[in-house]
Amino acid sequence: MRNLTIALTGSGGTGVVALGEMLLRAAGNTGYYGILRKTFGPQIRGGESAAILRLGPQPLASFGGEIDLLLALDWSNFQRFADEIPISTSTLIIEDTAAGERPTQLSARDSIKTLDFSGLAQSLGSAHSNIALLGYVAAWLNCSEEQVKAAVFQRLHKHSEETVALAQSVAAAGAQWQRNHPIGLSPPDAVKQAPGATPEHWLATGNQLAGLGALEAGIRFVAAYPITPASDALEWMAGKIESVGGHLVQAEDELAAVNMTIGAGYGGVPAMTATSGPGLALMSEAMGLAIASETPLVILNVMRGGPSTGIPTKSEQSDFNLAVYGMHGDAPHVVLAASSIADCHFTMGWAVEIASERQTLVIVLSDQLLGQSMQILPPTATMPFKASLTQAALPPAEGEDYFRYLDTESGVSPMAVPGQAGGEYTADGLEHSQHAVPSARAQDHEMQLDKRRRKLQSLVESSHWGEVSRRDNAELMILCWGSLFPIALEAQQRLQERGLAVNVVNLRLLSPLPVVALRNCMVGMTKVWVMEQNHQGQFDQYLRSHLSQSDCADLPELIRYCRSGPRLFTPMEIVELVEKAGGAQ
Amino acid sequence: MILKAKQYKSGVKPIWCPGCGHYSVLNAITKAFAALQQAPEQAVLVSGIGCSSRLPAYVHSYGFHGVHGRALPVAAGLKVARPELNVMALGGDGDGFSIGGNHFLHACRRNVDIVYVVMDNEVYGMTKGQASPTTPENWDHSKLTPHGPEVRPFQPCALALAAGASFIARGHSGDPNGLAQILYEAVQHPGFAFVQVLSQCVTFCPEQAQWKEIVHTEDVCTSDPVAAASFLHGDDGFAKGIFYRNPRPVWPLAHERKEADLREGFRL
Repeated sequence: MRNLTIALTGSGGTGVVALGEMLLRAAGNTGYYGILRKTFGPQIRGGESAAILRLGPQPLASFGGEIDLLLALDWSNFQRFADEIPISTSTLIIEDTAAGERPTQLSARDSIKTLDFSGLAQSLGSAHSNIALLGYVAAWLNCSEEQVKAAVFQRLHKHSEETVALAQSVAAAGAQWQRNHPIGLSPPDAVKQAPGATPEHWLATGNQLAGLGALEAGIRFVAAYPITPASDALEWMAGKIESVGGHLVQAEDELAAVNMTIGAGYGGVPAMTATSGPGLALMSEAMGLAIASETPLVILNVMRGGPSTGIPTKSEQSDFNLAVYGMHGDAPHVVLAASSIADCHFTMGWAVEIASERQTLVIVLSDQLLGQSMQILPPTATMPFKASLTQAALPPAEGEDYFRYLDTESGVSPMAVPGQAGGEYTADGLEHSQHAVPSARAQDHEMQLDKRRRKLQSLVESSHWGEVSRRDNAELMILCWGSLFPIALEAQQRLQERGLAVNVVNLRLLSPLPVVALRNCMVGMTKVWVMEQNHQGQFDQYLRSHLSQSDCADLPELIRYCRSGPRLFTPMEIVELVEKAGGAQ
Repeated sequence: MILKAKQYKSGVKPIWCPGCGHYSVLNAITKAFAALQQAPEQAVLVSGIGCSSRLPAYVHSYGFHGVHGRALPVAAGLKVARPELNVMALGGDGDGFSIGGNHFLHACRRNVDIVYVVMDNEVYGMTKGQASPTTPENWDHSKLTPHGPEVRPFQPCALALAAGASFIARGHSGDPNGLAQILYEAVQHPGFAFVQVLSQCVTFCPEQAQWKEIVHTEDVCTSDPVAAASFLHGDDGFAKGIFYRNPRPVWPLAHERKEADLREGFRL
């Protein structure tokens, strides 16, 4: 078995997510690579929750879709996420004696193993069957007792010594039990030959790496309002930002959050906020203000199911239209998408640099899948980006006028910040002259609109616009953005093993759209699947509106392939899709 | 070099109507700046939308003219990020108490070291004369509310007290010297200082020209919130002076800065 996927199901409060994290850490210290996805219902306690853990000898950035082993601590809310945990006849199922009534679709299965994890925990005076299960599975994965102990300590170190010691003894009992009640499935053996993960590797979520990227690129002010699934990015930053001399403000609402951020940005301090769809919608008026007043502003938007409150705890890519189009007036700005958990770091850094250099709004789209999934990965590369107001004005000479909104060739004007004598001006959301005086003249309006658009144009020439993974002689291509990229790459690999060559192109720069680069990627292609996790094919519509403007006589066939969350795309479904079409050639 | 009040004017011509109270507020601000010998590059006036929110462009300092109702968050963000600056938010009664009402409450509570000046003329002037949160219940001059708003007006100073403001005062545009004195004190108060200014709109509320006859100075400044509440609830709305001054820790509180490696904590 090359790799293994374990689903852990329970109800909120049974600790399956904690179990998943501890298991991932113990497995990582045993040399496995892995990735953990968390899926929750909206309830804090008593709702459904599940963790899906994929382990293997090679770095894993995506989920395969198949479930090899299902461990159920509680069946009661299983139906609510049955769609996201596709059980097949080859899935091995182990349930706790206290898991309750089995879901109807499983009632006919006779191969379900029932083990008394809760009884085992209780016999030692603990209510935590999840810890007994941890010991049981970790032993099967050949994790040493020390590694399991360390993982338990890491998770519970804020609790009393007695609590930690009890949990460690429950885990040890679970491990002992594994020898008497074998799982009936071989653990992934490839790990023994592979070099595997080392203790230098990291265990991180996309939200944490986005926060790290922001701070390393120079963000020193954050204002935000709590919202799922962005809060944990903010919580991570709150614990770190003061150590680099910055501040994080919990604002009274998203309107305050974004305007506080603009205030700090106007003051020359690199600033950001983070939110999710409903918060981004509330911020849209102020986004126009940042654009018109040419104030650097970075917004990290961790997408969830929408519209309205939607599905707050689950992933979707449906804020594309809001991020790209969601503003009044002609409001050119930048939209980037993080393409993997690791890339959250790089893309946030790039966003911070663009916002400060071009004095504009940059929205970074991430989603619940990237933001809250946890991955074992090599230490993140050194941050290559830095916020810098490179166009900041030197104070003009005595008696000389200062033109804050000067119509320059690059479109970027000299930006003074408070404290610079001679640079005094009033930044304005009202249309203004080059001299920063409010103006309703058509000529000034057109000049400033041109300028604000022009300063973004050269971005499409950046090599960071996207990533291209080519295969020899490929005539088929998958075009995607965001969290779909790792899934598409896995599909590409599986297709290659089946003798089918497919290119995968991922966009990091969504707006302005790098049309020329995309057209170049399409040369020689016969079919391009445009993939995204939303109901309408929002990006695909946008793409077509841009391509129709260029010479499109030789365009390949564009095929829209989209679906709403939270049913994630799987590598296998892409393989089948491409095989079907590829075979028909 | 000593800066005079008129040197704090930017030279941009105000859009205000003749007889507007805001001219006097502008004068009071420049007088207060002269008294403080405020360095122009270290001061930032932040405003929202409305007639009074145009004021930053008329002052020789830095300024930020944002969107409707959000002057306070912009000012707070700026002050937290750049604590050495003198940051003053200003605007009108609609901007501050209606669309921006939530920010007003939280700014009082948060106690960031900024001054907030509300030029209160009990009307939306820029949109041509609609009722605001401080308009009298029976004011029936707006086509939008032909019976009058029929809603009790806010008492901004009492609201500020209840929400935790640590400096509360009221001035009158008819007395720019008295207002300049209040602003001078407000700037030096550590924490959130709220200054309501009765600033008449002679265009939509010509009756406000009578305010100069009915405003009265009250020397009641206290640090006791109970005494201040008692005064403010019995107030006719035309008392002027500093009513409440009770400094408390300014946000953000100073914490010992612990150097930490940003990358710590990620290792397996």
